Amino acid sequence: MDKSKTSWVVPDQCCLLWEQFDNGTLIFNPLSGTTHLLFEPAVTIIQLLQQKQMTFPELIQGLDFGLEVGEESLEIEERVWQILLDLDKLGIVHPTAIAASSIIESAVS
Amino acid sequence: MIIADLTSKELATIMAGPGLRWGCGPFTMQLKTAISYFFDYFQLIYGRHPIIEEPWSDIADFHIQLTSSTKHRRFWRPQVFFQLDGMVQLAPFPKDHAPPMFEWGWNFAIAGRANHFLILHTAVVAKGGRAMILPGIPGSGKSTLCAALSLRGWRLLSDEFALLRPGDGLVFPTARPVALKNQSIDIIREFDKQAVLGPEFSKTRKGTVSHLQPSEDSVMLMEQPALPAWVVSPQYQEGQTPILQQVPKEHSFLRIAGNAFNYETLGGDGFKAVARIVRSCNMYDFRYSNLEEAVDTLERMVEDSP
Repeated sequence: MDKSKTSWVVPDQCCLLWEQFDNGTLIFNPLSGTTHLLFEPAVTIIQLLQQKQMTFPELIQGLDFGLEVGEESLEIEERVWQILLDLDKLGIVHPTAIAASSIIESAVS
Repeated sequence: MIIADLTSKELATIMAGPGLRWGCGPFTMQLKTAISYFFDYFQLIYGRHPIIEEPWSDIADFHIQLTSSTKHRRFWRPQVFFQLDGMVQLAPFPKDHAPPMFEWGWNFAIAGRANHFLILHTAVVAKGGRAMILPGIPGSGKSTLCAALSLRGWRLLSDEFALLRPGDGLVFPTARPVALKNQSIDIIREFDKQAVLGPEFSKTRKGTVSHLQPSEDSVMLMEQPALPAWVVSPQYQEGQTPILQQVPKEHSFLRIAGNAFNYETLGGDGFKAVARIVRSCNMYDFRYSNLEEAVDTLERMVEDSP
């Protein structure tokens, strides 16, 4: 998957329910019927993607870590990428249809 | 009219005939059986429950029948079968274990059917309209603590289930007996000499079981729901002085959701119902060993609550 071109989105039909507590946020995903305890970065990622679909670079910019290019930023970007993949597994976010078709194409070729 | 008003003969005639209907909190029950030695247990434990007399104008929520072995099995190791709506639902018990079969079968029926409630696997007691939910893993001492609190004036809502109405978060009583197991039986006998316990049933799946009769208040007020105010997860630990420790709400949420029989079934309503409990209740872990001290500690905690 091309990180820079893939757009991510929270599906329209995914009407998440939220409960925020002092040290964590719980969300209920009606599409899977599952509940998840999330830490703040994951919450922010979902909230950003609920506003509009974003590519990974746009998301990193939106998360506003204030990072210069360097080892530290690469590590944090990798962590954000991992969160996206985890949220995708949980059915809370997913790559857009265009991105999905490119995944299939690359798999076929 | 209450069940205790019937003579044993009258009870036997009704149960073996059309069946007995009685009210039990939000449920209307119907029971048919011809197993004679079940009647003494039933009258002792459920004697204060109101009979619904014929002609019945309402439907029963649960049609239960306790039947015994037929043919040759009647002579060798006879068994009792639990039927719900005419279907055998559970593996049979030895015939002289009809009372625990009835109680466990009824639990099974509620857990599977009462999906208009969020059903938590927990004991619940109440005082002044506020409920204390006592969830705990088997062996944690929740039934013993629940029994002790009910013998010290708390209203027993249930030893087995918190039945929470998703719309308003109220918890509904059933005022059924507390099922005490093994050492807990003697602990409760010692704790309160006036406690009324049914016969002991040995070699059940949970060891020896005896049922504590619900208090008069618990039965009289079983139409009145209560509002959850505390969630206390008890854990008996030998030699432990009572310690109440607050639990972070987000962790309590997952515990309570995991403790419910039908959280997934209720979907978003289940999520909102659990959120309501977590927001409105103080959540504690509670370790204790001495039952008197445990009850005192919880009484003080309640007095200190706003």
